[in-house]
Amino acid sequence: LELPSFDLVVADATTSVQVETKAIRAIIYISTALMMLLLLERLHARGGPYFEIPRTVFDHAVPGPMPLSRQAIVVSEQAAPLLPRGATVTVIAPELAPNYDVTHYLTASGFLPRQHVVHPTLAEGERWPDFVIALGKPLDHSGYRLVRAFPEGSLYQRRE
Amino acid sequence: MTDVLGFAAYLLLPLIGIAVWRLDGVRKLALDGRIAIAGAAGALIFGVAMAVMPVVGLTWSRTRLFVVFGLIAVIGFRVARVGAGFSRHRPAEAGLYTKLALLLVFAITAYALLTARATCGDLLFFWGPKGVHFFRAGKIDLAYLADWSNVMAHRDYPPLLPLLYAWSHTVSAQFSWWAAVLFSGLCLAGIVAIVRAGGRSDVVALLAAAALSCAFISARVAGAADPLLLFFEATTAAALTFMDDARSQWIVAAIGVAGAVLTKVEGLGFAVAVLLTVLLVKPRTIARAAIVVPGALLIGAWLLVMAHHGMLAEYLSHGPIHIEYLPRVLTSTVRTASMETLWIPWIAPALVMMLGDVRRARVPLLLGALTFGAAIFFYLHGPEDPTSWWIRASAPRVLLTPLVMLVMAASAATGERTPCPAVILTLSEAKGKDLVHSGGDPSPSPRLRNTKR
Repeated sequence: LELPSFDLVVADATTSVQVETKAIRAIIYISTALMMLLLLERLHARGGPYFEIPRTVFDHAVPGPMPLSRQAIVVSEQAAPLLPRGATVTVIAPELAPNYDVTHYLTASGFLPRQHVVHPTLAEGERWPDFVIALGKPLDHSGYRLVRAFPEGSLYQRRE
Repeated sequence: MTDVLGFAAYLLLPLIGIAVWRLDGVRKLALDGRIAIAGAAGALIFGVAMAVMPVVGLTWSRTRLFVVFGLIAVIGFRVARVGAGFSRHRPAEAGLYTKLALLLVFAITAYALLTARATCGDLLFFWGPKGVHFFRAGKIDLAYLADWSNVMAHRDYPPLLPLLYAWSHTVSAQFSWWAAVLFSGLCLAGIVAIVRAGGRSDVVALLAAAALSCAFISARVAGAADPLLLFFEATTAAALTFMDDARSQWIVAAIGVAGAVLTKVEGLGFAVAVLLTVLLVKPRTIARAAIVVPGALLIGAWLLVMAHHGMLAEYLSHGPIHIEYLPRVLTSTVRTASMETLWIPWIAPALVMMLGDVRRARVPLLLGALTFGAAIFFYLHGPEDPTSWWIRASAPRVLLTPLVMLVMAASAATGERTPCPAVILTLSEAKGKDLVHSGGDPSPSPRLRNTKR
């Protein structure tokens, strides 16, 4: 069995590995720089302010105006002290009637654990919840009266 | 203070899983990799313990959970023999600039998380609320899940993440939504640590951190189950790729698979991919195929409970396959895979892998291909035209699994190649030892084989 010179093999192998390693490092450094630049651009596109602690965990999740899910968090937190324990509550965006958007009351169920957050059932013949939190536009419903208005929405109570 | 305590609860998880440090395959890893693997084990062990406690009459209280936590940790420390005989093999260090770049990537990721720029809506809609209500009930709250109002909250989704959220809630008294968001960053750091320890390279760790943080933030996964799922998947792939000791490989991979199936519905697809991979890649043994058994038992138990209470829905959803959609599904999926970053998170690890020894990367590559195929398969069963919102909305997250596998493939293909002494060692000791990266055939680099001519 003929073996090449030990020293020669080591030198070739070492050189090739070094070349490949340099190439790998170049790819990684350049791609990392590009990815971080693109990422910063994405983060910038999700809107400012950029160096303030946000009010909620959802403030800049989507670009543009504050999403209604964010408003659902804020109004739920503001309304929580006004709601009796065990009361039935729903959260809707009146502008999305008649189907509203189920994600708003689902969101509220995490922020109003002492109340029973329910699906919006506000049509005639349905069992209306004790309270309604309306996001954005006011609620136009004869069965409810305004309890408190907040900048992001309002709390309504069912008329007796 | 709530947020600090809530986050600290997640940092404690490696203490619960520290028993895995006893395994030879884990002992050989660098410290960060060992902590990450222990974290995966801890998350699974404590999640299962929390699920089982109410079944035996122990509803959760702070005292009970801390006692159980302490007991598991003490037993784990005794089993692990912490402090004796760990590998001193440190990853190939690439100098100050690589470390600074790594820090910069993590800083940008932390900025994105802390300014609420990467939060997933699913945290608000069901993962977080489930955690809150489980905590208040002191158990998995079947009454909350059974409530008709919560029918849209994916009631039969696996319970591990809400259980961990309930654990964080227990430690912090009030649920910390910010800690839940930061937990995703912790999962990302865990994956990078596993890649770094497995591939033994800081440079490849930088690639993993950059590609995955880019993908995480583009897909907005913070607070959702995807980061935890990916963490478990990376644990599985690392065991099958980087660990040469059969016992370590079996236990760590089984932990990863069990964690994945208990975290997200997609974990079941990953388990099937693991089963196919171990059946296709040598050495093919029954023991390796049994990696999926613990996960199958755990998810089987959960699905039985859900079926018993009439809440099984997501696992049953299926429809006719629409082969005619294939071109549009592929086009739409590949387009979405750009993740608004020009496909660089895919291209960079693919190039790095091709410059290495691709054969070492068979396991993660096959896992990546199978999970990508599974995504396409499910999209072909979609109820709507695939060019609708479904792929655009879900693909950025679903494709994270193949991306993590590609990054691990790059690590496996190039790992341990940086330092020259390793080459000299390979030549001088090749007769007596297989010094090749574990998880693959004995395969010195192609350059070295060519020198025999």
